[in-house]
Amino acid sequence: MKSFKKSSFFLKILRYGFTIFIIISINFILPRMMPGDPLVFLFGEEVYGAAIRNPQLLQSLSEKYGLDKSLSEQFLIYIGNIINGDFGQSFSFGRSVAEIIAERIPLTLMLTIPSTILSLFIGTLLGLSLGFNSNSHLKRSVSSFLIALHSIPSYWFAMLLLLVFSLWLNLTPTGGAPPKDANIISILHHIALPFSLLTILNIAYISIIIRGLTMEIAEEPFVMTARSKGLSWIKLRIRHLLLPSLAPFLSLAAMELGFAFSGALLVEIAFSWPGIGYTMWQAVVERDYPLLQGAFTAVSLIVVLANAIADVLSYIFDPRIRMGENE
Amino acid sequence: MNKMEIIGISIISCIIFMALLSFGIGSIIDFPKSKQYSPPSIQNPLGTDDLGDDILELLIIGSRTSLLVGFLGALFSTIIGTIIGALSGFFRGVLDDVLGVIIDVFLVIPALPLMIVLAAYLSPSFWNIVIVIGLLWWPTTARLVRARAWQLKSAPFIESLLALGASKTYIVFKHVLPNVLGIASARFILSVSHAILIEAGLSFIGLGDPTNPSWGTMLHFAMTRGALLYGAWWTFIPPGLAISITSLAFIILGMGLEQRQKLSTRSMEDII
Repeated sequence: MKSFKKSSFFLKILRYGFTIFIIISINFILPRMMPGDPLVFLFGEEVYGAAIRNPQLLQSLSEKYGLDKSLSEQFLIYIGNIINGDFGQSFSFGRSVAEIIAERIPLTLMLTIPSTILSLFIGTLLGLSLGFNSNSHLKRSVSSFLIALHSIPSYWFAMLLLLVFSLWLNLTPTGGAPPKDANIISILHHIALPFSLLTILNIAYISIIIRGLTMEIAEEPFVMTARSKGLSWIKLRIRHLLLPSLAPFLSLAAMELGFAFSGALLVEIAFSWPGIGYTMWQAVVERDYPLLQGAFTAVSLIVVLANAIADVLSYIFDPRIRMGENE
Repeated sequence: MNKMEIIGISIISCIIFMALLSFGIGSIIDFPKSKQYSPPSIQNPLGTDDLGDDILELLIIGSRTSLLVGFLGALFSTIIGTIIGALSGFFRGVLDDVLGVIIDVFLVIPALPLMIVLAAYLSPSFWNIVIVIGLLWWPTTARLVRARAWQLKSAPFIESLLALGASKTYIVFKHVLPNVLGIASARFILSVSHAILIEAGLSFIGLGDPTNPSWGTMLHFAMTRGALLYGAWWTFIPPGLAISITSLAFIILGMGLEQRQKLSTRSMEDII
């Protein structure tokens, strides 16, 4: 019986492998499914134009990607290339996609990881307090405000911040990353606005979810018992509200990283912060499909990985999942 | 009607009225152009952009695309999500396993980047954006509907139908689907809010329909043509405000509908 439950956990992990397979398949199918020659999508209009006039070049390009072979063979070649870290050439940069992505991922991580950690901390505290005695007037209006924040486009919020802090008050640069040899002051100067914006949006997201979890647990009889025993405010929250929600909290943290990543994409564009999101934008503008797909794959892999880690962690920490009671 | 529904509906009616006005204005191209980047004045109540186009007129024309794409995208995604969710929740076994895995996979893959990729491959047009949203925004709806269909399965009236020998397909379409319509319609209203934001995001990136400019397109041009650096705040504050207010109005209406159904205390988190 136990081995069966264990295997259902591994099935879950296997599912992430399947997700990665789907992501790669989407990348493979899209350029081949669209009307027109897939070579246009793989090499850009310019190379394609040259290749049309030069049959030899066309031949060699086709062979490299195995476009003359059957679809299943092409797929194997494609997967082989990806395993070797070959995501193709970006035709607008004239460099390998893998190189560009490797250069830019750190910039996105620099923005999202500190922001996620800080907002998990603040968002959890805020959510716990909003979810407890949630019917007070003040708490309801704060919750409504946090919900309302979700209907504001992040990039527009970014434009407003740039208008006020960069143009009117002249406090921050109008965008871009700090130069390579920048000192810590200059880095903080550049990262301040995007970081603050992303953190505010993440806090709004996390606190609403934690509020929901807390409200659910607060209705349970054991919480009433604990309160009637006279347990202190802090102890009650940590022992009876936070600990039981640790497992959902961990999966929330992972989901949140995914959310932060998607959210960061548009924020990066507005601030010209050259991370993955900005790269996607550049790729869209240039219709540089290999670069676009590379960036998409990178973002998806990070999100899938974060989800898988959260599942492993909740498996380790939550006996309910480990024993299979949750199903 | 509760208070939230009234607030939501009144704001939405104003926006719809604005979108209807746009049919009277026609196309932006044949306007007599004013001076570029002129701040709000009596002649141009919201000022003009870098081409001398009137912002108020652009705003009214943009409302049409933003609303229609939001509405149609949400409609398609809700229909797909409801059918997949109802089938998956009611039929256990292989069908549920397969659909369940598909739902899970698409819940994990970050939606916005995937939409950007798909939209970049399709040519930028009104219907392609609707299709992108419809094809990729259903998983959350499917998950909610699936949970409800699951509950329904053990409801006494469904069990008696099964005992009477009604076919499962008949039960799903005649009895399960009508019973998940409440949750699906609340979900639809919230999806409109999401779809409006997604359309704005795609247009902001430059994947919008160039012949049907939306509020997102206005933000795109404010960003790329330098209105922001020029300090022409009147070119980008109105469209962003319009997106936020419209999206919020649908959220308020959706919350009002959910409250009426008393779905659960956790409904708030499903909104985001």
